[in-house]
Amino acid sequence: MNNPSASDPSALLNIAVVGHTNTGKTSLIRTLLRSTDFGVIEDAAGTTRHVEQATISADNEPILNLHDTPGLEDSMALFSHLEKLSKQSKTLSAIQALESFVANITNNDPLEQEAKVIRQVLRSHVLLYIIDVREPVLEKYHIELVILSKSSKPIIPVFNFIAEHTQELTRWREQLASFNIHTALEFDTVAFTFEAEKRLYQKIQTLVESYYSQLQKLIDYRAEIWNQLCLSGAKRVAELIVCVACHRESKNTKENKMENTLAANKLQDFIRQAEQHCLKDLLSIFNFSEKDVALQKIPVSNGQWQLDIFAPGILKSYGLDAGSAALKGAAAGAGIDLMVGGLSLGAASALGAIAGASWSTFKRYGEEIKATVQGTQWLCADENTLRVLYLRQQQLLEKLVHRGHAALNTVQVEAPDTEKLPEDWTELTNILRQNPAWQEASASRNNDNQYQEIEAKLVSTLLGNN
Amino acid sequence: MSAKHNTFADLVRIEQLRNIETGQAEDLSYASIADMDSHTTNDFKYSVFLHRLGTRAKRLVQENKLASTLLQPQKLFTRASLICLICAAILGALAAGNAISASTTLNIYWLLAVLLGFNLLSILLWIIGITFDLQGLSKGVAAQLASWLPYRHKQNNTVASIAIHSWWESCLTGTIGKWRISVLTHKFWLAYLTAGMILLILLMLAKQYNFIWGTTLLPESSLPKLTQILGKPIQYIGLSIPDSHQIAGSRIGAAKQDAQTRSAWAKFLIGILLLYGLLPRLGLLAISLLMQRWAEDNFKLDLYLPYYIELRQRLMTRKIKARVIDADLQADTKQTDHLSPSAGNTVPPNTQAFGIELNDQIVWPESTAAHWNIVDQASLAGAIDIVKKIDGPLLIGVAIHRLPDRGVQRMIQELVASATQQPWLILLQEQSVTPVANARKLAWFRLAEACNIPAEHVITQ
Repeated sequence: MNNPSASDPSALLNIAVVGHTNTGKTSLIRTLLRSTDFGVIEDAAGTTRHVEQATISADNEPILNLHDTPGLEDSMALFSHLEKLSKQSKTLSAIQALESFVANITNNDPLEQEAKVIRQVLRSHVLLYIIDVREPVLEKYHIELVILSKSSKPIIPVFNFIAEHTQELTRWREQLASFNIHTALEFDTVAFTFEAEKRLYQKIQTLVESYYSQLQKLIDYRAEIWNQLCLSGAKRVAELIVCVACHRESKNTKENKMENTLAANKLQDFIRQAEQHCLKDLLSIFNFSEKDVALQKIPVSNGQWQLDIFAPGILKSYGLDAGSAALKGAAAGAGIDLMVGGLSLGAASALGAIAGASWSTFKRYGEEIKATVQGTQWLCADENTLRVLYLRQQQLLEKLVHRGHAALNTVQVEAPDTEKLPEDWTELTNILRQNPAWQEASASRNNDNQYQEIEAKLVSTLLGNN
Repeated sequence: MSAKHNTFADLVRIEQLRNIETGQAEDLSYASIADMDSHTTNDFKYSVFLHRLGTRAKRLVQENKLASTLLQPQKLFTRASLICLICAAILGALAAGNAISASTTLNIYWLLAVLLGFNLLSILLWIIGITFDLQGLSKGVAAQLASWLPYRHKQNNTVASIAIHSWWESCLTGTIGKWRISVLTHKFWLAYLTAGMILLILLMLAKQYNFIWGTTLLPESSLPKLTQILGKPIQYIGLSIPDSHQIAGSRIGAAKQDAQTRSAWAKFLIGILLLYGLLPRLGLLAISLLMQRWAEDNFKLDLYLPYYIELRQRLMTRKIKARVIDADLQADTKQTDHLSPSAGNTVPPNTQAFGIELNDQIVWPESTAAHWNIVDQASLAGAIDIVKKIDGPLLIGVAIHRLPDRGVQRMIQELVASATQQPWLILLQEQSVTPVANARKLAWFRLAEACNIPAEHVITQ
């Protein structure tokens, strides 16, 4: 396979991102770079007035250069100018007309920005033409495509802001088909999916055959990194659920209201802090800034959830039955369940009978046996609290995974409510509650088959929704 | 950066530090790693991350003088193992000594039962435990008790206790723990057998023993038959075993043995102990050592834990590689806004309305009569022709939510240039009114100014 960059490192694949002003060119590059540090995004025309290059690497090997260009604001004037040039010299080919235009442009010329675009177009191997599908299909966009096609470079139209604009997307597709352009791609910089990014690189692969192997390396590398990222997020949420479900606050069986309230408050604080820590980690894993949080409409302010996990009404907002907790004798949303040590003694005896005089029985059930003898009870997070905790993290993860880097004025599309609990949720949380030793990560916990099964279930449900 | 592979000991040290930092971070000093947070990289690489984790751990250990604390659990384990082996050797010697009665007779099958019988039973339990992953069987009671000890509830966790607990977690649990304990178990039995055998050899060198055997429950022929079966592999390697006469002559209560019989029994005994005791144990020890090595080589940190996630962000900050290649020469001369959008102007009567790139969702005020929508060059040319001929004021309608660009500005300028009266600009909204940012309104006012339309001629709805 031909590998141009192997012999010459400067011969990387050059991709120009072009389009009308404010269609999301910089946003697309930011999304591909997974960074908000690139370029400037503003709700105004002509925000990008220079050509900026960013390199995308796979495993520290540079693969391609992306070029952000100013918007084509006045394609009609540019088209007339090129027509004039062609008329002046009839021997000029289309590409020569473009070259003549960029060579003779002066500073402060009204078409100076367009000249920068064309200059970069002529230097590139592939053009990504970004379309804001919310815009009406106008002649000027057609003209932009006509001008770009004069460069004889392969063009991939990229539909941006497609979420909830299906009709507009169809209209654009029909219009492009009438220009005999069928290679268009859907890539929403607001509601990002990794699949779209993969398809983008695959489309480029088919158009520039000589860079096939490098692009394949990039696709594979990106897929690996993406899976790792999603898995990191899901595992972090699973860790939170395990940590909270396994946590116990001991309580004296003697009725002492003050002491019991303190224990309940202590438990609630523990859950709040654990969730807070998880939120911080998730934002950190996905490299989310304060700006991103606001953009994605995550109900978080100053790095904290806006709605407390024990706030009244939170159960309802996650479609949970508030009455079920009341039936258990605990106030809805209080997040407290009482667990008596003797409850698990039956299981301990059964296991003890099987394992004989094994120390593992004492290791596992020692605390329970001691509690039964001493008459200690435990407080632990109730079923509904665990459910809310899980669903809230799942929703957050969904938003983080689909984070794009679109401009600030874009209307964020709310992610559909597809959150669901894993199968056998109740059984799963019951097992966790019976294993307080799992609260902290350890090799023995991670090697435990039952723990591995529970973690796998949580992770697969979390990722299954994404 | 060259990412040196971390050894198992390095990874254990990182894990110990993780637990110490999670539980007792306030006891540590972090001055030596202050410069590590600024490291940036283009792409995240696990090998590089692990290398940096290792470097961070080394520096922290050095700065906080933790080296001996972190190594203490390993030393304790080695010491405990040594005590176990000494105990095993004493037990083996005692067992062998027990087989020799007060006089000069040596009970062969009693000796084989105490030295090889228990050994065989232990091997069987170990094999079942390893095959079915039953730690209770493969570990043995002593090892289980030892692995339970760190779970004792501790009121005050100290750095040293956390280091021990963490070492125990990494080295004595899971697959690594399974093979490490297996190694210890095999060494224990090797010590037991070796001590027993050496004692026997020494005794046989120093004294003359008559070899005897006897049974209460088994048939008379069973033990001679067993001797033949067990002795076959020894015969293959050229050693002689007692023949049927010699066996029969060794029955308890039989006549005095000759030197040849004694020598045959002695060789048989040593051969059996070597072949069925020491060699299998040595083989299993080698396998367990290999498996322990393999498990240690495959030991991976759980990098999905919050502690590592946080460190990953701190130690491996991503930095994008970007540069401007066609600069904006007027970047420093950005215009400042001195406009403030006014509202409330109404549409003057008898206006001729022209829309710029409007969609069918746009709503014109009812007072405006028929209007023309400019969407391309042809419609612009047509509109300019009409504008030149009209008497009343020109009203240009634009969609407020759309972005004014130079193309739209040029169209408006051309219309304004053709108009005979001062034109008006109206900022129209769609049927479903969506809020528009003030910056967007200002952009239209700026465009109006650039097209010589005064601010008081801009109508907002």
